[in-house]
Amino acid sequence: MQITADELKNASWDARIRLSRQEEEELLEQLQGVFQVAEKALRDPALDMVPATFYGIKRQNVLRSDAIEPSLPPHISLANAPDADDSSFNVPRIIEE
Amino acid sequence: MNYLNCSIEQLATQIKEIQDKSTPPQEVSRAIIGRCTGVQKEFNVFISLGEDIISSELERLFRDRLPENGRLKLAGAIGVLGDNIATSRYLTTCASRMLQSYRPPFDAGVVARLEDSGAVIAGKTNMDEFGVGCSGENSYFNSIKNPWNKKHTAGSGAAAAVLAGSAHFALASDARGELRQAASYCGVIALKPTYGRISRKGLLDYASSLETIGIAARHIADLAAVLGAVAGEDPDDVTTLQSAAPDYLSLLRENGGVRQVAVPANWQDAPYLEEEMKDLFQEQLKKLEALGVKIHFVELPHLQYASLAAAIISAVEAFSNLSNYDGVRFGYRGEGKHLQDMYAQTRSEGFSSRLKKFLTFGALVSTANYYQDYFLRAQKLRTVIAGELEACLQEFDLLLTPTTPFQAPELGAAEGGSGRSREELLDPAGYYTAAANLAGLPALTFPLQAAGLPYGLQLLSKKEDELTLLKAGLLLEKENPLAWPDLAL
Repeated sequence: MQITADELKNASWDARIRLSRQEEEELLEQLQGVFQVAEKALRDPALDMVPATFYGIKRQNVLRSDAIEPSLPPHISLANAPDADDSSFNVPRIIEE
Repeated sequence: MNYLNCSIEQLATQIKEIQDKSTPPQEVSRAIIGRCTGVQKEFNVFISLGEDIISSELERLFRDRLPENGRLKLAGAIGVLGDNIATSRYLTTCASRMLQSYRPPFDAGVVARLEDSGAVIAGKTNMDEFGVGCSGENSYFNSIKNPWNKKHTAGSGAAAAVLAGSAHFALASDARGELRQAASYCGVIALKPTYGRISRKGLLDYASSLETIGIAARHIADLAAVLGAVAGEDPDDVTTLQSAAPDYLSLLRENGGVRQVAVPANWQDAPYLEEEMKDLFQEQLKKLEALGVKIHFVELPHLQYASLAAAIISAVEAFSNLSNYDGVRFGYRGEGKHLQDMYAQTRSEGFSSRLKKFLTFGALVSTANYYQDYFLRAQKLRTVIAGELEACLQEFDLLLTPTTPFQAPELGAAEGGSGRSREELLDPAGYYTAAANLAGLPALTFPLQAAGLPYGLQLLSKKEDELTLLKAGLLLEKENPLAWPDLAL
């Protein structure tokens, strides 16, 4: 599959990442290598009927009991924030000018 | 003082000598801190070193806790943790600018278990950013040098810290084989347990379905002791196994062991497989046969695609897992005119170039055009690979492969445009290691000494059967004398 520069730009924006021109070129080259190998490994028709595995270990009923536990106090929750006041995280304006 | 050079088993004797001679704990602390500082200066293995913590914890141990020594599985043992394992007393940076000043408000599940067992956590080790890869060169805190040869990578600070004698053991993450690869590069033992055997609470993982906390040590018995201390169900981690973990150390030397071993018939097909690795692997097979172990060459046709499947799956999971690093609640924040601009600036400045490319790969494969054809089919391939491995391990005690196809690469090679560096998304070093992560199986790497840098022999066993791996490791330990670099620090 040939990846286009636009596809790559859209994907990097999905990840909220800006790539330089050089990074885009390097990544395109690396991706072509991955998809080349993938063509052989993943196109096998025998895979069509195989179920996907999303976890190596099968688990059931893994929910915790619905018990109320103490929450983090606000001053601890806010301790690592780049910008906060006494009770909230501060962020730039949400709406573009 | 031989405190750090001895095994955890021998520590009780060391501690008794210290007590008999009334050596002040401060003297022990000074020796440990001196060693760690020297190792850091030479090889850059630490991101945080807890000089005050080492002193205060050892003092507390000698003063208050040693009377209960018999109940402490790791009394006085010095451990270090990869810097993506949350610790409230140390920064937890994930070797990233994004978290360079982050101090978690809680400890990972393994931290309390280690401390309850009498271990002292001496510091946090350097690693590739967020644990993605094993180049040892993609850390915000500079490259990690191999104690055997400083021109080569150590893969991770955890393995190098253990090799260089600045800790008895290390805990670090393993998503596609990173810890085992680093242990192979350094020539130490490492275990990736069954998925769920060790709590993942507080592991800042990038690939949730693949990644576990593993253990590196210099001796098999030490590895068994640490696994016994940290393994078990954790109510705060719903992915932990509910079955009780055995007392590995006490069972280690009991009779019963390895009789039937499988080897992939196509084990020599790995790209970049070095001749010396081939020779060492074949030599080990002969040694095992001489001990009465039967070797069977088996067809595992999809094993060769394990690193591809793991690359696609882990990139998609990383794209999702690392989306919370947005500069709002913790970590680095870039300047932006508005919220979306701030998110993009934060992530573009806070992550390294290599990680940005990996996350973009994950984002691309998550899009509608690629999801069905790549991500979903990689998960189907995972089913096939896991099925092949499980069928093999129903029949045989172990599966043997090399750990990595090659020795520790030279530092700077990634920048040189080499064939291997152009394939960094596929991770050629993970050719043999990724399969265990896909299938959730336990795997152990055992060091093979060579004239220059060491190699590694990888052993895989059935789910929840770490004991067979440890017994086989003990057998290998008897047949292959371990060696450590003579470091003048």
